[in-house]
Amino acid sequence: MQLHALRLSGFRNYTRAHIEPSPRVNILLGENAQGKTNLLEAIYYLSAFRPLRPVREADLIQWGAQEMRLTAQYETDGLTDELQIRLHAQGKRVITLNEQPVARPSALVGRLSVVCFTANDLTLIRGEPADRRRFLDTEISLLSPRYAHAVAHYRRALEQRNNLLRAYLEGAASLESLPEWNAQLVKYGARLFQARRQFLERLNTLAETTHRALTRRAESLQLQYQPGLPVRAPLPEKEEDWADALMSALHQSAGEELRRATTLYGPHRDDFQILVQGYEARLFASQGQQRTCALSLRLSEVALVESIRHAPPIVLLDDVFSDLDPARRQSLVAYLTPRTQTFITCTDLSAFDEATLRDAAQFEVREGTVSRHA
Amino acid sequence: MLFPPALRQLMQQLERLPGVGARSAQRLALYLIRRPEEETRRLAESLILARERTRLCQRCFFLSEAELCELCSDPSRESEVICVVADPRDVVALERLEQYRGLYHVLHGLISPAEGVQPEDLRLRELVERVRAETPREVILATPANVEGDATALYIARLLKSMGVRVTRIAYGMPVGGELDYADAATLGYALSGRQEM
Repeated sequence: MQLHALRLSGFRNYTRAHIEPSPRVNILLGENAQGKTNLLEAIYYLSAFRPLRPVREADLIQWGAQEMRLTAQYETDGLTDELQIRLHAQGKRVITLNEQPVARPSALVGRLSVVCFTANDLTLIRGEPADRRRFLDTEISLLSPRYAHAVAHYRRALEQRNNLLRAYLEGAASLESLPEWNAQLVKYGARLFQARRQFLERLNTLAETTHRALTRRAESLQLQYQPGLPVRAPLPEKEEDWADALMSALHQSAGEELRRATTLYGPHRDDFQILVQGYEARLFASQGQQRTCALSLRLSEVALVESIRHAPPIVLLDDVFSDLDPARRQSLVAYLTPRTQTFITCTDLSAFDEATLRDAAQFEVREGTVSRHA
Repeated sequence: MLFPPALRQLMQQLERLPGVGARSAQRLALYLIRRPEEETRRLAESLILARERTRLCQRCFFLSEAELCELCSDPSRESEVICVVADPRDVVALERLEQYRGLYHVLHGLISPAEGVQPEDLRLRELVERVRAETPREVILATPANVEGDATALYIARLLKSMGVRVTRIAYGMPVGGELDYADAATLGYALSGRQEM
């Protein structure tokens, strides 16, 4: 996966910009609030069709502009595609692939494959279960449109079911349609369980290797899926088995659910444990170890996307590079550079060794303009 | 900024319409008062007339001016097939095909606890009574392919199956002329599970 050219207009603080990145390391250098992360945001939006940071879509459009336009030329499977997204201030969005309008953008999500490392990744280790579920949903959705569809439908079914339970508790409704909401919840819930289990299993295998490489064989890393179900290992194998397990959990907890007017089991109660040397990283790892864990998780994701797409994804490092110690920086660059197109934002070059700087393309970002260093 | 009272009231009324914001309401109101008086009068009359004349067909609950709608009173329609839809607009969409010759039953909504819509708020009791009285050969469920549409269809199927009537659901899937490559996974999934013997 390689981005040949990126063109922006009316995007965030860019009136107009154009870059032709190197196929290896690209350093985006500039002071704070000049627009470095906005360039990463543009690449991410072309992949996910939604913003990287939690902002409204309309906020992607430059202040006062009527529309924003992003165009990417990229190579995938030896073919060059041109993907363009235009977003109008009134909310209308037009996506074209090779100048043909795309009627169903969801089919193109993740076609430009991207993995983004941000300073926020530490919340994967230290944050709430909801942070880890968000990670699962975002990343699996980029790999599988079927999963993205199931996430949206599961949320809706859960909302409906909880509303029914609440209305029943308040005496405003009967439970006559409960079997149907159970069926919807179980149908989409089983898909989420199964996909998350598979994703975490594959990620776990890869994380073991990447973490040993990052820590120079000193530490082991394990991921353990904890589904929101009263099941013990071994976890169900097939989607139907997950469906049966969730349905029987709903039946068993029916009394308790009616008292509390909420759905007690399902993927909305999922979590996964991150274990370093067999101990829970959230509780027992040092800040430095936690940072390395987050990095390992993202690197494993890079490897996972590569194994699925048969080409490494584009890697975005937003403000994470300079926080690492020199040894980890070196391992990271060594891991990524041979094949992966990488974009790194930073405020100065002190974090880079000479060899990396020699091979990297440098772009200076200042007040919404970007220029390549000779 | 301050429009005179009568105009302001018109703007407020228009703003309450679905899909009309404050700015569109202003634009529409200013447009309307600049048109010839005759035209405004016709618009007002049509509003009142449509409101007064239109009611629900007592058999299928589609819109009608008589006790029974045009479809229900047409003797050439096959009365032993009933197609259940959520909204009167779905009837119009299906009729445009000029393919379906049976009758309809309009639910006027879908089961949706989040919007406070329970089964008893829909024309479901009427459907059950109708099936009992008319004993149709088949009931086709044509609710939309989303969470609420699926749940409503499952609910109706459960209600009707005990009555011994054949219940089917319309297939969802590929647009005609659509290429597999560009269909999204959800559509493709529906198309695959609704496949037919060749």
